Amino acid sequence: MNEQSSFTAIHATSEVRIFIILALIFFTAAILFVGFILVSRFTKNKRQEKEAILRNYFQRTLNAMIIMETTSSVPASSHVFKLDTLRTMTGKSSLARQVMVNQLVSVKKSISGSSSKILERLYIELDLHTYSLGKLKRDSWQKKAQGIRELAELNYQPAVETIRTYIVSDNRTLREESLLALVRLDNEGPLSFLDQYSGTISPWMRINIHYHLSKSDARKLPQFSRWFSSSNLDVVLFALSMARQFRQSSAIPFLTALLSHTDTRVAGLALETISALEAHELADGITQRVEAFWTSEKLSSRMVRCLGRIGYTSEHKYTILRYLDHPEYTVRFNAVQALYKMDDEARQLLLDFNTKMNGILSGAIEHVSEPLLQ
Amino acid sequence: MWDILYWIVNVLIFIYAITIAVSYLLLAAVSMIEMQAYMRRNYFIDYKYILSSPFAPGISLIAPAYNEGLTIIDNVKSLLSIMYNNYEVIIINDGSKDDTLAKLIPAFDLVKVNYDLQYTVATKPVRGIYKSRNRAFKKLTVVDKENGGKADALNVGLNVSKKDLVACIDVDCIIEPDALLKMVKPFLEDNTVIASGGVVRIANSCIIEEGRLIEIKLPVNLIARMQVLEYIRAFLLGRMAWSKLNGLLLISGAFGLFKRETALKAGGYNHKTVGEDMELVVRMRRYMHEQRLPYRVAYIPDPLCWTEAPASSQILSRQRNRWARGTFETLSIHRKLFFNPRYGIMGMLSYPFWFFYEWLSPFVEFIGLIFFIVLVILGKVHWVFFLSLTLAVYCFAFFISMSSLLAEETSFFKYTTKRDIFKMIAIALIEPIWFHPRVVWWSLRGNYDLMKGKKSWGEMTRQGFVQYKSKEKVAS
Repeated sequence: MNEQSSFTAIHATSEVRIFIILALIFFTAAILFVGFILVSRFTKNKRQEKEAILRNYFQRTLNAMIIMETTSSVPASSHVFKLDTLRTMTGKSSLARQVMVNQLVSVKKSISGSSSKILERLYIELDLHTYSLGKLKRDSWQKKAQGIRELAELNYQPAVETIRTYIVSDNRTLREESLLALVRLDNEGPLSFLDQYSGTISPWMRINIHYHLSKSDARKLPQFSRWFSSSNLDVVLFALSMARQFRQSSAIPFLTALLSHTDTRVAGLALETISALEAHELADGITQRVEAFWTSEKLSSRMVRCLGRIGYTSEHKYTILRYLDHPEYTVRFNAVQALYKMDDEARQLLLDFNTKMNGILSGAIEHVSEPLLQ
Repeated sequence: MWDILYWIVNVLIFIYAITIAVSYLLLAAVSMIEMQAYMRRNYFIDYKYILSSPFAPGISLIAPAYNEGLTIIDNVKSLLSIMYNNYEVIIINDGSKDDTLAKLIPAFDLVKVNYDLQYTVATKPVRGIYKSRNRAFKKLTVVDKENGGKADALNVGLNVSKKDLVACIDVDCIIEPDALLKMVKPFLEDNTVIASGGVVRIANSCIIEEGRLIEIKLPVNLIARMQVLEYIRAFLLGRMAWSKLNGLLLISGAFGLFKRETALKAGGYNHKTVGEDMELVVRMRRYMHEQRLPYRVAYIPDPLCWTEAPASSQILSRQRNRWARGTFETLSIHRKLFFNPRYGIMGMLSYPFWFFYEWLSPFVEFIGLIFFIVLVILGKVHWVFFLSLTLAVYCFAFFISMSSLLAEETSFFKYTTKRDIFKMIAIALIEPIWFHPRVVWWSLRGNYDLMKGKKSWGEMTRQGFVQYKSKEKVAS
C-alpha cells in the first residue's frame, strides 16, 4: 500500500513539474507578447513622429518648388538650392527616401498637367527612381511590388522592360502590379501583353485596368476586337467588356460570331455589348439564334433585354413575345419590361397577350410601369 | 470500480484538454500567418477604384428592423451614406409593434408601389413595398411585412433584391463607410467565393455621430469590455484560420455578404433556428458540395462593423443562451456532415471542431467541475496537482488572449493608447475567473432551454448609440 502511494506521489510530482513548466512557458510567452506590443507601440509612435516631420518638410518644399517652376520670376539658383537640400535629406536614410517617394506619389494623385511633370522630373533628379528600381532586386515580393507601384505612379517609362519580366511571376500581387504598371507605362501598346497572355484576368484586375485606361487618351486605346478570338477565355471576356465600356463601335461586326461561343459568359457579354453599342444591325442575327438561348435563363434574359433595346421590326417584337411564356420568372419579367419600353406596338402586343392569358402578367406590367421602380 | 471510473473520466478530460489546447494553438498560429499575408497583399490595394467602376457588382443591403423606432432614421441614413456606387438598401419592417414604419414614411417621403414580388423563398405575407419620391433616397426600399422573425425578414430581402450580392446586416450596427468596398473584393478576385464575412467589433463607449464612428474607445462597462477581448480572440484568431483552411462555418449575422443566387438555391435562411446566420453558411456550403461545385467562404480581418454589445449580465445571458441554442440546432440539422469525408474540410474538421469544442465544451467544463467537487468531498484531490494544473490552464488562457492582442497590434491597431493595452491585459487576467464561468453557465442554460422547446430570440434591449450621444451632450 505504501509502495503504491509513494508511486502515485512520484507520478503526481512529475506531472506537477510538467504543468508548472507549461505554465511558465505560456506565462513567459504572454509577457513577451506584452513586451513586444509595448515596444512595437513605442517604435510605431516614434516612426510616425519622424514620418510626420519629414512629410511636412517635404510637402512644404514640394509646394514651393511647384510654385517656383510655374513662376518665371524666381531665380534658377533657388530651385537648385532646394533640390540640393532635398537631395541631402533623402540621402540621409531610407525612411526619408521612402517618405519622399510617398509624398511625390500622394501629391501627384491630386494634381495633373505640367505640375505633375515637375514631380516626375524631381523623382529622377533626386535619384529616387534608382531607389525604386533597387527594390526590384530585393528578395521580398512585397518590396518588388512596391517598387513597381512607385515606378508606375511616377511614370518612369524606361522601367517597362524590367517590369515586363514580372508578368509571369508566381506571386499573384506581383503579377497584377506588373500588369497594371505596363498598362500605365507602355505607351506603345498598353495592352500588348494580352497577345500572349495565358493567365487569368479577374474582375478585380478588370476594374483596375479599366480605371487606368479610362484615365488615358481614348484615341490611343487599342481595338479590343483584336482579342475576341484569343484562346484565353479571360482575355476574350476582358476585351468584350472593354469594347462595351469604351463604346467601340468598330467591334460590332465581330460580335455576331461570339453569340455562338461555347462559353455562355462570352455569349451573354456579347449580347450586353451589342445592347450597349445599340447595334441595331445585329437584331436580325440575334433573332435567328433565338432557339439556342431558350434553355439558359441568363442568356434568355440578356437576349430579351438586348432585343428590347435594339429591335425595331415586328419580327423582333414577336420574338420577345415568345419569351413571355418562358418557364423562368426573371426571363418573363425581362420580356415584359422589354416590350413595355419598346414602342406602342410592342406595348399593345404585351397587353393583348396578357388579356389572352387572363391577366397572368398584370403584376409584372404594373411593376414595370411604376415610375419609382425605374 | 471507482478507480476505473476515476481513471476513465481523468483520461477523457485530459485528452479533451490536450486536443482543445493544441487546436487553439494551431488556429492561432495559422491566423497570425494568414493575417500578416493579408496585410502584405492589401498594402497595394486602392479600394476607390471599385467605387467609380462600372464593373462593380450590385449589392443589396438587407436590414431587418423590429421595434427600432428609436434609432431607425439615423440607422437608415447611415446605411444610405455607405461608400459604394451600385447598391440598394432594403429595410424590412418585420411587423414592428412600435412606430418604426410610421417614422420611416415621412422621414424618407415613402409611398407604396406596385412591386411584383415573387416568393422565391416562402415567407410571411408582405403588406407593402415602399419607395421614396425623393430622388436623394432612390437607393432605399422599405418592405412592410407580418412578423416572422429575423430569418423570415431576411428571406423577404432575398426575394426583393435584384442584385448579384446581398449583404445581410443588423440595422443598428455601425458599418464602416468603406465596408462594402472591402467585403466585395474577395468576390472580385475569385469567382468561386460564395460568401464573405468581416470582423465585428464592440462599439460601446465609442463616439458615434449620425451613424458614423468618430472615435474608438474601450467600453467603460466591464461586461462590454470583456466582450472586446472575446471578439478580438474569436474574429482575429479563430475565423481567420478557418477561412485559410476554407472551413469557415459562421459569418456573423451582424454583417455578411452572400451570392444571392447561391443563397436562394440553398433555400434561403432557415426560420426554424435562432442561429440562422451559421445555418445559412453551412447550408450554402453543403449545397455547393452536393452540386460538386468549387467554392470558397472568404473572410477579411478588417474591422468593418461595430455593434453595441450587451452591457448587463441579464441581456448577455439571453444572447449567449440563444447562441448555444443556435449552435446546437445548426449542428443537429446538419448532423450528416459529422466526420463525413464527402464534405471535405467542413465534414472532417470544421463540423467536428464545432461539435466538440464549441458546443460540447460547456458540458465538459461543467462535468469537470462536478467531478472535482465529488473528488473534494471524497478527499481524493491531490491539491498540488490541482493547483499546478489550474495554473497551467490559466496561463494558457492568458497566453491565447495576449496572442490575440498581438494580432490586433500588428494589424489594425484600433485601441491606440497605452492605457488601453494595460486595461486589456487586466481583462485577460480577470476573464477566465470572472467572465468565462458565466458564459459556460449561460450556454448550459441555452441547451437546457432548447430541450424544453424554447424557440424565441429573447428580448435584446439596447441602450442605443443615440442615447449615448445624448448623454455626451448632457455631460458637455
